[in-house]
Amino acid sequence: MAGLASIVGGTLRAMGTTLRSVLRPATTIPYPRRKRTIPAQWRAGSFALTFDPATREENCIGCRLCEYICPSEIIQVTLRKGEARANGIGATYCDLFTLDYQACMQCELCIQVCPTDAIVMTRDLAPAASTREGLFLSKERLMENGRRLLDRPDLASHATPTRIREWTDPARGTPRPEAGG
Amino acid sequence: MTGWLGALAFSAVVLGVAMTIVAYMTWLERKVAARMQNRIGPYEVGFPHGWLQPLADVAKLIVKEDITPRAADRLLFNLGPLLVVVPALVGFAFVPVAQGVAPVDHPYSFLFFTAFASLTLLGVFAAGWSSNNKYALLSALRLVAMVASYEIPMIVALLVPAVLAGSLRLTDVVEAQRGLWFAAYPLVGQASFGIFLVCALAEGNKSPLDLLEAESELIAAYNVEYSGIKFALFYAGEYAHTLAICALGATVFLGGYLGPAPVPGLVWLIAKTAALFVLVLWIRWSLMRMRIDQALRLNWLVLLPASLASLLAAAWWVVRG
Repeated sequence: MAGLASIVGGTLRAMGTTLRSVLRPATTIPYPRRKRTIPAQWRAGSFALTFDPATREENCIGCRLCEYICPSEIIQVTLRKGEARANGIGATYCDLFTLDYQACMQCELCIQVCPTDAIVMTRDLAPAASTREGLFLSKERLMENGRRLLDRPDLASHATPTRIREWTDPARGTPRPEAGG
Repeated sequence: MTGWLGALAFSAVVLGVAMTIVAYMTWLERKVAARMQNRIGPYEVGFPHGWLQPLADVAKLIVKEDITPRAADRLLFNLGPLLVVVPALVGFAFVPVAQGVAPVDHPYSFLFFTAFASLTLLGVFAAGWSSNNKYALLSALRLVAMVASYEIPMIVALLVPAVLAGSLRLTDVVEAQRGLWFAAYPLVGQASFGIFLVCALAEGNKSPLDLLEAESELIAAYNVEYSGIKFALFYAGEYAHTLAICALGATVFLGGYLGPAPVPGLVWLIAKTAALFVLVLWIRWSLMRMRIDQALRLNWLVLLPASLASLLAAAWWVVRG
């Protein structure tokens, strides 16, 4: 009799659990029609080479720090010397900048190590491609992403070195923003 | 009906409607299951909420290759799906839709209904045996063990409304519930209705008693060798069977077509059947599968004595007046 009571009780409890689940909104969303808001700390997007908003010059100075720190060794940069720039950052550029997204593991080290906030991640969903070449980010593609960021700076990743410096020493900058948005 | 031609046309229409309803039951089940698991379920095929999904599934299964394994018993293998679908659909012919009106109104329609509902067992066993596949055979043997056992308390529980109504004619059984639904009779009604529900789960191969399709043990089920439209027929047969059992439960326990006047009786019958079907789905997607020994112990040690006791109590009730 006690066994029967536990069977009936357990059944009712299980049915209560599923009923609560029915009354809750679904966790999944119909993806292409509705998209989730991407959190500020997102680091599964594509990459971009940024420009200085004032002078419209590229920020990359070709220092190759990202190439050295990349654990997957997928970044390749060649340095090119040039004249001094208007923003005074330096007189070097990257001639070639390639990032093979196939092997990227989204560790974000390249972004954190960049001295000029030149390479950032974009806050969108990880790019998909039907060919290997489609995931190969040339300098042109990276700069195209960067041009988009000129209009929408909020789509750039969060943990650029400048921002990290600001967070670690709040007196020098804006306090760390809350998650989300 | 004007002769054979009219009867054929009538059957064709009814069959088409019934199969469409059965197809949409799969949609309902997928939607309910998805919501219980915090998902959305079918959505894109027939936006919104995938209302074309069943038709797409049927079309897909029809164009798929129809395979008969070389080692299979050809006759039984091809007969199996039909033996499952046809009896399940025939059962609907006995369900009364209005006072004294049923497609087939026979003095023993109650008996015929349960007999046809049990016949699907033969088709499933034929499929499992003729597939010449050890998993299919094991599944079919489990089915025989389960259904042959659960058939007994189910029939005994179904005898309670028959005894209370004093008739084996389904239209009479419904009319006898004009005052009070049999499910509302104190103790006797609830006990027999509960036993019937549990047995209906076992008969319709619904979890927690869907032992014959334990994927982790038996790959799929008795239908592991089937593909294409024959597989679809098994699927349809399973749903038609469950739906038929729900219609029977709604008829003999929940007053069938009886209900407040402005709404037609057929609507009441459909609403009650649908409510029972959703209840079956709710139980199915809430519980884990039982072990075969647990399922059989539940049957022989709990359901059978309880059903016999409720039958005796019902008989006593009727004799005492």
